[in-house]
Amino acid sequence: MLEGLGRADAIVARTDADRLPARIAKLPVIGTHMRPNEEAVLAQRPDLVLQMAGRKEASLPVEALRKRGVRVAVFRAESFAELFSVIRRVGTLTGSAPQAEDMVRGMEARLAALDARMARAKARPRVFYEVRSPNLLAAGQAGLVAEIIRRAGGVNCVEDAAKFAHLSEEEVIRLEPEAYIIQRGPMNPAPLPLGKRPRLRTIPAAASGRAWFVDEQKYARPGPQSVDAAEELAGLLHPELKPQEITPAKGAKHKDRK
Amino acid sequence: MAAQARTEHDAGREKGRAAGAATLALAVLACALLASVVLACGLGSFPATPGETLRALLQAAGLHAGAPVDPSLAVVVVDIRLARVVLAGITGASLAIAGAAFQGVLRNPLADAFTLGVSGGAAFGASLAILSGIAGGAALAGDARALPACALAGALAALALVLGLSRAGGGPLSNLRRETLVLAGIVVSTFLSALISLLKSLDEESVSSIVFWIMGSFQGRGFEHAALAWPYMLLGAGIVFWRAGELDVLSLGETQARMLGLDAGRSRLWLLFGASLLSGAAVAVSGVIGFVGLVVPHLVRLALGAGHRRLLPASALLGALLLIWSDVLARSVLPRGAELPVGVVTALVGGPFFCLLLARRGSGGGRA
Amino acid sequence: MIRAQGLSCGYGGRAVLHDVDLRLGPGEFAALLGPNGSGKTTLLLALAGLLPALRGGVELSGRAVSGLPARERARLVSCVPQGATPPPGYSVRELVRMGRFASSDFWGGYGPRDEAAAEAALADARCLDLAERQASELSGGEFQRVLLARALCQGRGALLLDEATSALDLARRVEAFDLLAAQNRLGSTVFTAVHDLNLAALYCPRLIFLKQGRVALDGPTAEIFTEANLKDIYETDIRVAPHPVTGAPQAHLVPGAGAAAPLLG
Repeated sequence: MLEGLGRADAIVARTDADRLPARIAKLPVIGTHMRPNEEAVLAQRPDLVLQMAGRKEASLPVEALRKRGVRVAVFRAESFAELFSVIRRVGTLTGSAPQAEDMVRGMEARLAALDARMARAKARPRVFYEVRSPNLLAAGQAGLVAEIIRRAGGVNCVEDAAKFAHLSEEEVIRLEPEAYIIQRGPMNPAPLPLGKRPRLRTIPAAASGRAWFVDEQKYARPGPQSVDAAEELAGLLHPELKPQEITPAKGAKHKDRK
Repeated sequence: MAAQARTEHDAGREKGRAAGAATLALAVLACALLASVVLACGLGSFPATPGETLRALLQAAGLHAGAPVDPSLAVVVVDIRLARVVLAGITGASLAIAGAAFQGVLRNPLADAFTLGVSGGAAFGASLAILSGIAGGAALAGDARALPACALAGALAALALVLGLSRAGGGPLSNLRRETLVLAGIVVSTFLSALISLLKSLDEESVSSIVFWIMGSFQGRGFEHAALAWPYMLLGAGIVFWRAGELDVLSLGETQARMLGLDAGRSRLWLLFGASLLSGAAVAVSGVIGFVGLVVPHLVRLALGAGHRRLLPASALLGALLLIWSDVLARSVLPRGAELPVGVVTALVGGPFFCLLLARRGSGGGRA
Repeated sequence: MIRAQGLSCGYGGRAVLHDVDLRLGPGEFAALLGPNGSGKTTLLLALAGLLPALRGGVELSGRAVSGLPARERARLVSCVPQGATPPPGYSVRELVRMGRFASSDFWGGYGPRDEAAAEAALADARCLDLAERQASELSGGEFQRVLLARALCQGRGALLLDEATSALDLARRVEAFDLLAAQNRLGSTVFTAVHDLNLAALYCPRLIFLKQGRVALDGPTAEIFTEANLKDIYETDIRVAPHPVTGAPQAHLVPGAGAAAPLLG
């Protein structure tokens, strides 16, 4: 996100899992996103620490860092609206408010175009988004992934109100998903393709072959690439609705955590 | 003369009655098991009437003549539920047999696969497999063959380590004191659990995979897992059943066992090997599930006595029953098909139950 | 039948028995006597092949016991151990049938012959009325009888007993020795460690005394059961008089002859 604002140079450290963009891979690691190491963070003498909300384990070091006088901004981005306000705040905090505003405008415009396109969709397929397998975890109705599915012209068939839903294979069969999205990334390092899961062979998505791998970094980490995710998924779900204009690929692929 | 003939006749009849009670208990357990298999296949979040369930099962067995069953229903009933029931059944039986064997060999009613570090070894082997990526993070669906192999190797390695430690003071492998064995087992067990914690903190991304797996679960398992485990289970069960009479003799203690003509040291090694195969294979496909190996043989002993020719088959059946129903609970307690690890269910059910048993025993239940 | 030659053995490399030579022929009925700690239990374990010899060796029926497979050894000699505790969860009948372990088939099963042997042993040891009881619920004396039954079930060729009657009351003790004598008349070799000198002298034609791990005396009861020998071995004043019924020599303690007597003086 900071790179999109032209401020990637301001990043001084990363977590263990952050490898993109390439230039930050060489930066020092301050621990993992769940348990950042307080000493390592302090050693970098940062002016600002950006931290995603939602990890209980990580809130202790945040408190500790604040006591040491480090500015810590904790963000929550479970929807596009929240994501936009996060981008604007990061822009303000890093002294690049105008760039942030530009970025948000661009993303909003692309989403609006996408919405318009999807309004012409005849059917909205029932989508199942697999967060993790085989200890099955799916995207529920809360969270950015749910909004990506909606914007991409699909219906999340998992009705659980939470961000993640635990469910059984039997439940997947009962839900009869028409499209099966498998994210691949740290949460789901080696998922099997749907074709190699004989117990799910009767679901509509398996019969129609509408099952795809997607990149966890792109879909599940809020950032400028979240719009790319929505556009990509729309293309998968509705290949018949070609975009009328090629949207310039704006915004680099990275997330907002430092 | 006549009096003696009569007493012998009476004795024969009483003996027949005792054997009859055991046979009856086995028959009842076997019927309950069969009924449970069918019932458990009918329970779950996917709606299926008993009739549909039965038709799907019959169709799978090639006995259903009528119109074919809805394919989704057939998959749910056969490929998902029946597979889990079968896996839970053979795992439960294995854990119970292994528990009975460990208790018999160590002459300790509280012994089980945990006591000698065998479970810990299997869990460590599997954690290592998950982390190193041999089995992939998607341990159970990824390369299904690697994980059980690693778990089994871990179980046997732990056993070897315990035996090695026990004879560190010298002396032949066949002449180990059981107190030393238990001590070495506890040391190895503790060490392994520390190693697992180390593995977990080394790689946070895999933590949930490892934790979930260590908790023990049949989620996402299919016939392929049962197919992977049953040869080891059969081998282990064969070894233990074959040596059931030796377990009886071993319960007298080393000296008397040898007086009666048992090569006690060798017998113990074989039995430990068989029991480790059973627990290792069980852990390999279902993770670590506690209490089955502890509670089931204990319960059977209370009802049928300690004779292993009755204890082992009855424990196997009861263990299968217990785990099948624990798994049904595990997958039906939470709404919308979310699942509890079955190890949590057995611990929650088994813990209080075991306390009850201990309390009863403490209040004058005798030494049974 | 049973033969020890230059036998030394013990525990953890420390010898308890030294240079024991002993030969028990078929059909002999001998008692093993001696003060506490003289090595009686050790000798019995060694003769049964359960304790490796440090020097010398033991032969059963002409074959070195160290080279015998466990099952074969157990078919040649049956034992009644000292201080055994009953295992929980077994009936008396099951416990007695375990005596047939060495004779069980490849699958470890017990056949009709084993059942018959168990019933006969239960009857002979007067345990039939206990057969359905739990072994762990028996009194000490009852359990001793059950162990005797198990030994009979195991085999009647040679019986080694270690204080097998010490927990029995007087009537049962006589009953047990009557049973041993009867078995002996049927051809069994019986060798029993006994604490009770008089019981041994009453029943056994041959006595073997151990003292400090060595055979101190070995011979026919009538010849060696003398006041001088007993005083020597037990280090207290003992008088010997004939038994009023059988005429067998019987020992009698003399009050005031203990080591503490001079102090009381």
